Amino acid sequence: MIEIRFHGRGGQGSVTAAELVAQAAINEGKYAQAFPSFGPERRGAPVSAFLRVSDSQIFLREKIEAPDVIVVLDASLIELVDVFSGLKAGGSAVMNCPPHKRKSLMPWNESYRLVTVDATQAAMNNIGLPIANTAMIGALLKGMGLIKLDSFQMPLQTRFGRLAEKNFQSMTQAFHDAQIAEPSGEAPLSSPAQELDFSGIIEKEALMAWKSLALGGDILEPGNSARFLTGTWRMTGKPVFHSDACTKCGLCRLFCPEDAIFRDADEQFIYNEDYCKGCGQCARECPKGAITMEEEAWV
Amino acid sequence: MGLRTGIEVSLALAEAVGLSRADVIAAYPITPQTHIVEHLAEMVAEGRLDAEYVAVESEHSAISACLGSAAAGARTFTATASQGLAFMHEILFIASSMRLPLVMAVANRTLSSPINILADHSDIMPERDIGWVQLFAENGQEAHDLTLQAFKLAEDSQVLLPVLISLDGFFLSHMIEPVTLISQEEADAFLSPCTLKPRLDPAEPRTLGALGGPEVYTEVKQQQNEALCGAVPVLEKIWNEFSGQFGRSYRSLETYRLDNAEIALITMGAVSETARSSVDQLRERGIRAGLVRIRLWRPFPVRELLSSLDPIPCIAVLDRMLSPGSVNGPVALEVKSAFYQHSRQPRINCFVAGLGGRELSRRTFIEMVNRSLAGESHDTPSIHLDVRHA
Repeated sequence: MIEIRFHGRGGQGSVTAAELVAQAAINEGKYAQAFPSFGPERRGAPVSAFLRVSDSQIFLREKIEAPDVIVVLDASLIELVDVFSGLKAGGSAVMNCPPHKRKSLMPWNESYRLVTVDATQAAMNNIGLPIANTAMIGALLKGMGLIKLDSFQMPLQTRFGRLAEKNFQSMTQAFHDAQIAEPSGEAPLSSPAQELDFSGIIEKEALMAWKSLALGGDILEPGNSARFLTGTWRMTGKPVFHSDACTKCGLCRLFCPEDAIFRDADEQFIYNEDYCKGCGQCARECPKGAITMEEEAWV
Repeated sequence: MGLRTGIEVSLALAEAVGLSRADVIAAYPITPQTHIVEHLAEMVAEGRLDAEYVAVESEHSAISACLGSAAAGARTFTATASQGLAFMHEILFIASSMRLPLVMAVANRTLSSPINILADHSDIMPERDIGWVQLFAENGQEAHDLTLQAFKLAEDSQVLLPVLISLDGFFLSHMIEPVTLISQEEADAFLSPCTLKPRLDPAEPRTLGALGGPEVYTEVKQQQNEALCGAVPVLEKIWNEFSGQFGRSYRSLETYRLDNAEIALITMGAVSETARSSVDQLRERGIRAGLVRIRLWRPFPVRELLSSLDPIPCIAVLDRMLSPGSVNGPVALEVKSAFYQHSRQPRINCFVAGLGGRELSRRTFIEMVNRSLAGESHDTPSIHLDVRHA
């Protein structure tokens, strides 16, 4: 059995990617299961999905804590989420990454096998949209050889209909483009079977001891949602304000659904990095085209 | 001193709510609870009770309004029955989990269908896991006394939980009988004015009833369960105090003629009085019967039950609800569970009777005893249902 954990952002198709691989595996006669991390669904927020593929029936209904492979659809997540958490020594990390940023991933290459591909570019080339999930499947197949590319024809057709062929092309391109870097460090020894140790698990799963909770689970601190930085959900770029074109009409501020646009000391409109979700509403509403959405740097 | 008076039990209970100086009553009328809330509405309208009476549009709203009222720190009361209680269902769990102290009377009535307004415990038994303290009154005096005690218990800083009092519909709720009504001075001496600290307080804003994922949900439930189980010593203290002041003593269960008994009946609610008379009749005929009447249903008094039934070899449990598809009725399940790890294993028989107002008379209890003592055979069903087969 191989266990794979997908990391992405809400809306990027991580769950769909896991489902497609499971369907293709099942169509090949294998056993597979795919499921999301259940919970509130929020566009741009970090999400994970889980996939198991096996030659025999799978008797597990738990999350994957020690995956053999991680598939990261959006490398900016590395700053927000410990995507490598529990990844087995010598395991593979399949990363969506433009070529010029590949170097920044090298520190992880010491212990892990890196499979990198510019999946977003592959998606742009073939689908015309930056939806990289199917391309990432291509990279996963290149790295792991898990399932035949052709086995995806039917699941893609079922899922995407007339867009299936474009997705298949995106997947195929990523399959060919993906680069594999074997771990640079010493080959890890296969770890001996470990004793089952559950100590500390409850401390990890529970926020606090029941006696420490406020009465009835009340939240005593007013306004603590300010600490919830929804700006980390930004995935389609940040707004850039061009003061030369701006007439200070204030429509951007009015339309911002997050109230994340304000004026600085020089009366210039700026956005709040902590809460801007990058929806682009301000850029669409600006009558002067003084706001553009631009890609953000990561890592 | 209290005044011994002939009064309908619903009114005696409502008077106790008045004596408790309730601040808010939010209720929707439903048979057989109607007289309780009608009387309270009158007391408020006449200016006898300085309370806010919220005439809501449904039971769901009634209990929801009570949650808000209790959160604001008001002494809060509601009452319902049957379909009304079922309609409250989802909110009942929220009241206890949010640790909101309020008091509710339930005039027990069966559930539809068929449509039936008469008494049994089909309404309250499905609510046994709501996390409230649950008491069953046997007579008008208890309905009156338990109401005052309930407020004191609910608002105790060690408890802070909702408390409900069940009273059998009609046979208790509509019965006129002697009740020694507590005077206002006595009530004030026993139950101090509501000193609940408002949880909903603009000066100290907080979030109540927030989202709680897997990282806190279990701990909230544990906190709730600890509070419920911890309510028992507080209740015992309140009962001691009450007995000291009024001379009427209360326990989590009452026993009758268990000495040397060969069989014990277990009952709840007003029919326990009939059961008591049956015990006397049986004893006259040389059958050594006795009775345990459970007053505190939640938390369930396991230790008291086990010790009171020692060493009786045969037990007949009355369930006033059919739990379809279950091994037994809810009360018998509880009793059997209590005995599971006990060294002594008496024969325990479950009798489902008195459904939808079917007469529960001495005949019923005597038959329960006779059938239990006759022993079980291979063909004996796990539940004896008081039903016509042919």
